[in-house]
Amino acid sequence: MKALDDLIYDLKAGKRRAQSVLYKEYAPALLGLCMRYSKSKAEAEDVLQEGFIKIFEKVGKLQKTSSLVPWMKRIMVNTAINSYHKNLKHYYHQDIDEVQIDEADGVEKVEYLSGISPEVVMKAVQELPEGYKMVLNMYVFDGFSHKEIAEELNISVNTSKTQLLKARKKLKTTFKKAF
Amino acid sequence: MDDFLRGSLGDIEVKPSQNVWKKISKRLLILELIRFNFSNVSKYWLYSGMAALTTVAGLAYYNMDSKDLSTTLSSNVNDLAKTETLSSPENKEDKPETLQAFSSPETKPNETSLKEINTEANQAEAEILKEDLSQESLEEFIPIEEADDAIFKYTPEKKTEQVAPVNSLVVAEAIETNTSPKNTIEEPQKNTALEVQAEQNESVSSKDPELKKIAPKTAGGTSSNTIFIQKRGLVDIPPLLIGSQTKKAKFDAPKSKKKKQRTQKSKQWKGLSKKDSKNDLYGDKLIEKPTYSISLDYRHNWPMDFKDFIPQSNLFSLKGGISYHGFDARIGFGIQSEQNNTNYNAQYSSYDSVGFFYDIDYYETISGNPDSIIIHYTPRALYDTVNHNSSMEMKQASRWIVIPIELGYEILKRDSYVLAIGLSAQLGWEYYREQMIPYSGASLSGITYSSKGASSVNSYITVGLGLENQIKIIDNWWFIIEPRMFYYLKTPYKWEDSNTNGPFGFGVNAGIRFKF
Repeated sequence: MKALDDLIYDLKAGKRRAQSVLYKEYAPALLGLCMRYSKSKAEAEDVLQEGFIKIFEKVGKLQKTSSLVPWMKRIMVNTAINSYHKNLKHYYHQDIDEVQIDEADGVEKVEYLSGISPEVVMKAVQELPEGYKMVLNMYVFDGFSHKEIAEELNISVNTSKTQLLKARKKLKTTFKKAF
Repeated sequence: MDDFLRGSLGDIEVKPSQNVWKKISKRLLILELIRFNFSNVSKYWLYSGMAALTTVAGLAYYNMDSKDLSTTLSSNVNDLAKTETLSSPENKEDKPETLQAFSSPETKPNETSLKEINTEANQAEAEILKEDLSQESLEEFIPIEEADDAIFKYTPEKKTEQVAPVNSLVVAEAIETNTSPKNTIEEPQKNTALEVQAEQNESVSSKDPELKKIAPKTAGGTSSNTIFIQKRGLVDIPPLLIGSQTKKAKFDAPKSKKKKQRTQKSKQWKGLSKKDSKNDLYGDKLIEKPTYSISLDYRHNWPMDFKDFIPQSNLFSLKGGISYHGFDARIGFGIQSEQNNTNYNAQYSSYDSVGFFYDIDYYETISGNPDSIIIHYTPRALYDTVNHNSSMEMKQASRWIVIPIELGYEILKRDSYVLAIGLSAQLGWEYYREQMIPYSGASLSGITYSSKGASSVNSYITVGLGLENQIKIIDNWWFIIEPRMFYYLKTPYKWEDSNTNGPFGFGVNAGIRFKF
């Protein structure tokens, strides 16, 4: 813990060596996070790069050492969301009225999933439509509520819920095909 | 499904590409540069950095200039050394191909014809030289700078012709006959250029004693003169002195006004070292006259400690100076201004309004009701003496008459750059101090100052050490920049009711100097 304290102290002082150590330590995990929000590794690395710049710039505001990792993850998620907003005009949006919600989809047991590798899962998530992917990631992995997702993505709560259900359904279809 | 997803991708790690960190580093560096705030850097460090940069730039310029010159000289000297092997029969094996060809049996002319050619050529050249000398046009015939160029342009290729160059033949004949060329202008048997040159070439090893005298060095300062000297040797014209030549090289040549002109040219010739520049072409010592200068300077001073008490100051000064043998001395007059931090404490009393009272004008009753009463009054302010205490920190301007005294020594000197180290002393007397009047109105009493800065009348003495960069702007005008550390031998500043010597200060002097 003391080492982490020292590291953060040096980070706040802007020491390049400390920045390098932080990057080497946490970049793989954070890139995994970014990959979920991106279509490809290259796009994820752009988000990672942007996120680390923000981390190094704002580390002075970090209060507790213990909150370093969640704080960095949150910065990465926010960076990914910003990237999503920037590229929003390029994405295709499906109108909520066109979506047929199947409530049973969310509770169906999927026993066949056990044999699917993380790489396949990652690929499936990356290939989701942007809206689905954002909601799925924020809700399932990063603990956002539908209300928070709606605020972050400038959509309604219902849209968020719908996107999540559709994402799950699409993933199931993909996994079944893969299995 | 959600649990499955979390289990699969929740803690997944992906190794990033190597160039990601490079990109991040690059962007961080750019951001640092963009956001670098100069105001966070102490000013005296900033200015000292600038002064250091100026010094380094000056030194770089100094060295660059010297290097270029030495490279040119050495390359020319090497070329020249090759040509001079022609006159040394023992160096045949080391000769360039062109010279080997000249000395080979197939191409070498027989000695008789060579002598004839030699004699004719010498006579022709001697006639030309005699004519030029009679017209006192030696400078036009062999201007020093042109002659040097001629040496540098002297290439071995020209010696591939059957007819050897006059200079070489003259030398060759001198070797053979063991005498100076007799078929030229009459000249003293001693102190000819050849002999003097031979004296200078002490390090040459040769079995032939006469050849030893004239055999040139293969490198070094003297060899570059050899051919030139040989050419002049016909008429006993003294050689140029270059590099390590000693004062032995004195000649009986007529010392006319040409000598003075040549001396001036010699001083301009960049190849001369500082030591050599003190001698003229004949090895005589030049009489160096003192030079005078006048400088207009601005200096800003920063305290290096006790910054709450000691103010920064600005000094404008006009100085006259004299330079002699690399030493400088300057003295002048200046005006220094500063803003002292001063605590102002004032106790004063004022007759102020502290309330009001009703001043009754008159009473009356309502008609028909004798028990009633109407009071007519005027409200009036109530005044009393009020004591005030005022304490505040203010800036108090002051002006000083200053006499700067500087002694310097030029440690590096070029045509357009001089670096000098300097000792300085500065005497200052305060002649003006701003009056502190923070309150006006009621009468004041008991005003006291608790000055952090100087007392009302003061003087100070500082001593300093600086590094003065002089950069030539145009003609006699020079730009001066000098960082200087100084110490208060007698300080005008006091704090906590005590005077303290010191502390150190830092100043940067910038100005213009005219050298007469």
